[in-house]
Amino acid sequence: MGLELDYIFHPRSIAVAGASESPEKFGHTYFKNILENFSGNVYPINARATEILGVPTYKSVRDIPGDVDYVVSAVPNRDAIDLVNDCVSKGVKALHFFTARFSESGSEEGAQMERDMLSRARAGGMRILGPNCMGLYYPKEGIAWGRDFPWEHGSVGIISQSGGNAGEIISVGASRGLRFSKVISYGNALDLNEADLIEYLADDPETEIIGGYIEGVRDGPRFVKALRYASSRKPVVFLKGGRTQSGTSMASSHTGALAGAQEVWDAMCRQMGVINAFSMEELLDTIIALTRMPPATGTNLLVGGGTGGKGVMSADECEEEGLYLLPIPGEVRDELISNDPFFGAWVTNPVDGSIMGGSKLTPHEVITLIAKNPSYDAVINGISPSVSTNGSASAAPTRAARMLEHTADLANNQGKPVALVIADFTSENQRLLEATLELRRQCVKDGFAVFPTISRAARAIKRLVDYYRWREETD
Amino acid sequence: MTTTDVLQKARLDGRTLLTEVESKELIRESGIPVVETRLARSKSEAARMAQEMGLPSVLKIISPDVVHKSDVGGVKVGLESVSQVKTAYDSILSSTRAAVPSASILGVSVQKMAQPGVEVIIGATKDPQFGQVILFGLGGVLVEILKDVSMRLVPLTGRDARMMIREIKSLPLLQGYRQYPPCDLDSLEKAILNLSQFLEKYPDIKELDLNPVLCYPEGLVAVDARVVLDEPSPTL
Repeated sequence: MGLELDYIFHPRSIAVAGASESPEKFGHTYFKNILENFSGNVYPINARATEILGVPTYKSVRDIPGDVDYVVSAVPNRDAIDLVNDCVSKGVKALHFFTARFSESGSEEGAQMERDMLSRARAGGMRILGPNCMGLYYPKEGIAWGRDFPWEHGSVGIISQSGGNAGEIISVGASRGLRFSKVISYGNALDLNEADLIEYLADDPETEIIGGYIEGVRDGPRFVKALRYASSRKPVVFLKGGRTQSGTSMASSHTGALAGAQEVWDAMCRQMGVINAFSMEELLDTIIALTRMPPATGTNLLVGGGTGGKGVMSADECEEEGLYLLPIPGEVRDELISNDPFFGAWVTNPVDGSIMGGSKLTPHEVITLIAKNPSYDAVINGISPSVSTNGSASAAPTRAARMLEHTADLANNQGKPVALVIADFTSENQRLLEATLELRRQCVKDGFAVFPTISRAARAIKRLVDYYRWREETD
Repeated sequence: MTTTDVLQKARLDGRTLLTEVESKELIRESGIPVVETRLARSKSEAARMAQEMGLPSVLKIISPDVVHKSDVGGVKVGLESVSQVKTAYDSILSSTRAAVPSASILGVSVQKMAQPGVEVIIGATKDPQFGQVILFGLGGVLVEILKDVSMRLVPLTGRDARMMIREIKSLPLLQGYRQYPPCDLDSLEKAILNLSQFLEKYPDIKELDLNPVLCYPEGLVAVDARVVLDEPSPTL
């Protein structure tokens, strides 16, 4: 259905119109990235400079000797129409406009320019991405707009109306272990719109999960159709910006008064099986849960790692998210007692590791033993590095390694979602801070789903469970 | 009158708000059970209709200028005798005239009072972005305060109807609670699907309230209805 757009994402050659010598400019970064990483031909277009990064420039796309499939525009907006004309006469297949200040400025002049660009592109059989967007990040093909985006690729496909949010999803997501198939920042959606891109990612074999940031929809019914199609094939998570806009002040019925724009969006997500994220954090948390945890449909949760009051609070937070802290079943209790009569009788869910001093069992052995019981559907385990008061962290690595081994056993062998919670905190203790960062890096590298708080982990698990329950529900 | 007649008459009159009697005529075609309701233009007509349809009766003001009927004293329920019906008729007319002196009064609707049941709302509206939407929830006059509702885009599947019923917080009330027997959720699901098909057939319905719909252990019935049509598209 959407794969007719495939050629846009697999260009054989790319030209950058407005390629720049100034390292801080988009036209420089983009050209540098593709020069170093893209395997096809790349061409800088610049009317003044003779070469950029050692590559001779062309004055116009029409002067380029070979075929050009894809053109990226960083030219000023007054030159946009000329560029469209040049690209059409050159036989370019797709033109991405980083160039901005069109309809989004609210001016009639900008909107008129867009209409002209579109009609000329349509007449010439060329597709337009944008304007006013960052375009395509396709690490597998060596295409990226950011300086520090990872080149390693993955299974997450993203569409974003906002370029800034797309960049944040890539950078923050990357630090938490996400890797992307394609990220498309599509801006004003003059030609290629959200529905085209969702359909494309739905069919794209490289994409296993679709995420998105969206503010307004160009064509509601088509968008809904695309979402229905996509969510029947893979998980879809969307964050909607501009939620507080009011819409239904003129209603003369109860129904009209109750069905505001946000309520209808929420209902549409439920109906189409789209996971409705309410913040950037939740969007990323949910994608992390979907990529780094196995499917689950149960809500019986085991929580470990909290101590004292923290454990009590974490239990509240998990139950508020709709998960259930199942008390330790009888047969598990018997096994715990047979290992350690005193602590085995004392332990509860959430497991308070701080009571275990002097026990034959380590807190992680206790967690593993309980979590293996089939009554538990998911596990949240809070972990932290241990640094002794004199600052030496010598014993920590073996302990941490053992702890991760246990966690990996749960996640891999029991097939249960396991969320690790490693607190984001600031500390005066530099060693503790470094040890925490190192622990998180290691856990992320090992493929775990890591969250900064128990409540965020609980919410992500609940979203995962809701999604797989939705899939089980038949028509 | 058929559905088309009702719509045509409203269009000819230049109205977008249908009366209760017209709204019920229209809804009847969807297959959703509706309480039989007739328009009485005089006190004696009201008394005769009440006797024919059976007591106790409910009388309501019918005026294109009155949106919230109970706010103007335009609703009388539990009328046990013909003389009570006659008194109610006069009282409805005089209090409506007092509250909205300019109101054009078409008459008074007469219906047999339905057996009590769990009150739900089934409604429809149009979202500017996504089109026709169906709403379901706990009904009655407090619906806008309680906001215990769920919504789905038209057309709905069986699963959509099933899930929107299960989504509201008051679901336990529909499943049987204390003196309330469990409601017939199958007929509720069917009513929602009937409305979805009906809306596909009549795309110029802008807003619709069936509130309340009374739910019983077997079946359900809509006892009040309001339909608002789209503004006519400007003629060339």
